Amino acid sequence: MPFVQLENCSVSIPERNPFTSLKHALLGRRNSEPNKLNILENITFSASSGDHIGIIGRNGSGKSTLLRLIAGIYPQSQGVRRVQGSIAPVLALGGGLDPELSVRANVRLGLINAGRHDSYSTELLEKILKFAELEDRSETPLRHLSSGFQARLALSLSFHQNSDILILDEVLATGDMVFVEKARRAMIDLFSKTPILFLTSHNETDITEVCSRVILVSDGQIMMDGAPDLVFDKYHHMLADIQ
Amino acid sequence: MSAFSSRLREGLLILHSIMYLAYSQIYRRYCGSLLGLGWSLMSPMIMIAVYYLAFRIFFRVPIENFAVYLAAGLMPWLFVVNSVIASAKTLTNHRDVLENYTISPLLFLFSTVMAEWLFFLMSYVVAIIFAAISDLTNWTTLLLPVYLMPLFIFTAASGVIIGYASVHFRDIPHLLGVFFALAFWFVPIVYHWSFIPEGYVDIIRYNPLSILITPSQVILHGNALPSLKVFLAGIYLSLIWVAFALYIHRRFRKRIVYYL
Repeated sequence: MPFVQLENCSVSIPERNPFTSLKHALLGRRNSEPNKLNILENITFSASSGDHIGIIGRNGSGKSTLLRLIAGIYPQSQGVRRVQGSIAPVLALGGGLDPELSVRANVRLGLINAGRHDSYSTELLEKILKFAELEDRSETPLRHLSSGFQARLALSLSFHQNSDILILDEVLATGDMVFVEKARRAMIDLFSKTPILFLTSHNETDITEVCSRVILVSDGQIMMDGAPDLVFDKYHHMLADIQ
Repeated sequence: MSAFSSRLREGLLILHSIMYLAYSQIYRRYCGSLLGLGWSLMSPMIMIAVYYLAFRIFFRVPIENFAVYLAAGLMPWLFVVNSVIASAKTLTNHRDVLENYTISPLLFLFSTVMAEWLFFLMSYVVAIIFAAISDLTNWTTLLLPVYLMPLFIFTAASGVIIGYASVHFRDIPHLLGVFFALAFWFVPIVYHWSFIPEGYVDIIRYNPLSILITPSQVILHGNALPSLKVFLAGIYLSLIWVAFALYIHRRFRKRIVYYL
């Protein structure tokens, strides 16, 4: 059974390199110990199969860092992270795709970047292209597609996967109404098949529609973890206090 | 599925991913250009022609079949130089992937070296054809892949070390050009071992790049097998370098994402 457990996890990111130049390194002259930004502090929570968790908070509160910590992209500076199951982070749509390569080649590249090269098959390729409505343009270089179609391809790559833990950071469908609706249905279908989901969004409806639990993050700490209506209530109060 | 076959499958998948990323790099480099892959042959050929003109015609360097001698040394040299220089920028060039996926940085570093290896093989085949025309090939030529392995392994490990180091020290890509311009004259590529004054022989002999490039020259130009001592020195050297590269990878892999 897949699970995610974080116990007192903190993430500190150095503000800059400890050495500004090779000269300093060779002379053994470190700059004063680089300042560390404490992005997350003492994060503790667990998620198991069936948990669809929304993560909310203001800009810069640490939501994306928390997702990267869960995914294993950012190492924790302290605490314990335990994860069981395959993870699919979808943190930036289209990251690593190559504008010079064809649509078909980019599907393969996208799968390699996401660590899903083993899932490649002609059938999957066709499904991805069909969803993005790019079957007839599979040999077209990506840069010749409109930004809308490039986003469709990236979205399609993200949707066609079977992972135990899915992590989505502000991934929303863009484009014409028909495609947005189709993407929405595909997303809900994907969520229903995914045992554990983490989703960040500034849109309350997106979260309340699919999440059974919400975590409120503020200044790198978990302020509240519970039912969506209660957590959003707290969030609204927090925003009102700030205003 | 047994643990062995599962590991074998995983290994093949990683190899396939590296080859595909290498193919992407090659395609990206030459797409839209008139000569395409021909440029990868053109560049070493022009260098060989220029060095031939300078050293054989003008300076009258007394080396028989000098063009083959040059090719046997210069092509492996260019492979090392191009791989290491490209590796220095590989991780920062893939920042968007490394910050958003859990992919290993090694995949990108190895694919960079693999792309250069494929370029090298293409131009090296031309060198072998030249050697064959000059009647310098025999059964030892068949053993070239074995004797070139330490060169490949050493370069791949160097790519990893330089790739990680360059993220921390942004001067490295600039320094490499200067370093290789100097180092070129400490490897017997445009001159022969026999020209080196006695007091300086050891500096050239124990230069790691000399150790790794010599087998290519001995086989392709000398028409013989390198001594076992030279071959084993190449293997030891590359294995030590691999161990160091693995240490660097394990030490810095997780936190490298913060410095990209």
